[in-house]
Amino acid sequence: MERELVERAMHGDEAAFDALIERVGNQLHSVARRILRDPYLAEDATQQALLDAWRYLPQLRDPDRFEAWVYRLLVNACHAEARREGRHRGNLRLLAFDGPDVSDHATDVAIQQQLDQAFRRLGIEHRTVVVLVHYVGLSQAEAAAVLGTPTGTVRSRLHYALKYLREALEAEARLERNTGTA
Amino acid sequence: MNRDDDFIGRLEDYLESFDGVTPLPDRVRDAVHAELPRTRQVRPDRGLGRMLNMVSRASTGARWGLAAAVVVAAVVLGAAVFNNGRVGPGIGSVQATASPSPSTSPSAPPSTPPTPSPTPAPPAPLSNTPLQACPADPASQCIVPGTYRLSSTAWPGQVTIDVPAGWFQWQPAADIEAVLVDNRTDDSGGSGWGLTFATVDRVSKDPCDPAKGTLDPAKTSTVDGLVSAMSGWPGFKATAPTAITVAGKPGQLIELTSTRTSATCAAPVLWTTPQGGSFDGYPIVNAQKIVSKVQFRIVDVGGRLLVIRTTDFPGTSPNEAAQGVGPNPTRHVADQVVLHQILDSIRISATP
Repeated sequence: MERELVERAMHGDEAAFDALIERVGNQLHSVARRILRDPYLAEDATQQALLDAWRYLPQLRDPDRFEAWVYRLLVNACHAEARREGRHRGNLRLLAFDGPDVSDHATDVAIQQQLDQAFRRLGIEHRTVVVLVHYVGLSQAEAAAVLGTPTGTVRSRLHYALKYLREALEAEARLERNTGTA
Repeated sequence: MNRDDDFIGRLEDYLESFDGVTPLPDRVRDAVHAELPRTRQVRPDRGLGRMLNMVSRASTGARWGLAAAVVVAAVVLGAAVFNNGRVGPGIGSVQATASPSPSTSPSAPPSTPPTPSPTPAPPAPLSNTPLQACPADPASQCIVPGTYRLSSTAWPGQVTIDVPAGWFQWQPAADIEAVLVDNRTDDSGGSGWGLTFATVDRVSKDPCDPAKGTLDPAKTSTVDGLVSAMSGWPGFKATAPTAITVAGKPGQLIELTSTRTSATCAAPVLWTTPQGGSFDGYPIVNAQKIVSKVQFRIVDVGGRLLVIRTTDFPGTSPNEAAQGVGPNPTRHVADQVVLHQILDSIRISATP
């Protein structure tokens, strides 16, 4: 079904492309939110990725690879947004903290907030790999295909990111223990 | 459930639930829909279409040449069909792999008939090198030995290096890029040992305390200014700077150590880069309490700073120790020789 929609959209069928947006739009936006950690940048990146998808769809060689292909467009758009924002602000750490939108079902708000603070301090390349592997559920090889990098690069970025997040969480826990016993 | 499973579970819970449900806003959907009629789709431009396009753009002489080539190709193709009764699978077939990167049509038409270019092709970027199994760690992929350039256009000039066997690329940002050694099987998470290149934007007043902010960029945009800033970081100890040249560019070499560990400096950021990367304090500050001497070669390339961080020490790196590798004071002795060969191979030229 999706293949048929992709093929119709490749030939200029706007209704088919609208249907594709219905299928993948929410997920693309969710991924952009998590990579960029900024709702406005995420909207801009998702919009750009969808327009790029429409523009270049006739060049997609295998309609069954539409989803992986559009993820790559999204990642490119996210990185472009971050670069643009970085030039304006000069420091990704200054990205607006819009406050946690904590789910009622969250079991440990404090840990999630600590994770969020550490996650925001990661560079965008590291956040991208973490999101693709641990949110989207891609394998490292699939993430490498989306990013256009060697699998070894994905592996090392993921290793660094997880190490950093784990250490940040452990440092916070130690700080709390020390504060508690002081 | 072990410690790693628990951490990954928490991370995935965070990614799933912290932002909650984030559907695509209607305004984005509407904006895209409104743009579709005004956005022309880019059709593939290959095969016979590209050839015809080239003919239509080429000069008269080139058109004759291309026409002759088409005639020759037609004769050869006809002979193949005549002899074999079928056309080879490459002609007119559709490739099975996706084309994830949008590419544009051929650029400006040539004004003269094409002639062989005397300019050698630039080296391939490190981010797109051919890979092979690492000689000493066949389960991992290493760069095929050769001359490569740093990957992005964010560098001051084109920086090329010779990469030997057993090294891999690591690139946490467009303007932070490393080649690291992989010649062991006990460090599947990477050695954390090698050379890292970086540019510089905002330098931290205190790498361990982002709340203190950054230094005035005007004072850290020169080699001497950056050396001075690094020498003054609280909790870090810098050697006296030594004048050096890298690929003919003037600079200074300093070595940094720190008594701080991840317990008191959880996420050190030495500086941020113009492309938004964070240059971290690894391996100077680490959770393993390994005192690591790390060298920084700070070079002036046409008024911009290029920094080369090296882990030129012989022992087990903190990254390896974090993976359970035991202390070994000579683990990287042989690698140190290779590291200096890579340093000596650095060439810097104007960005093409």
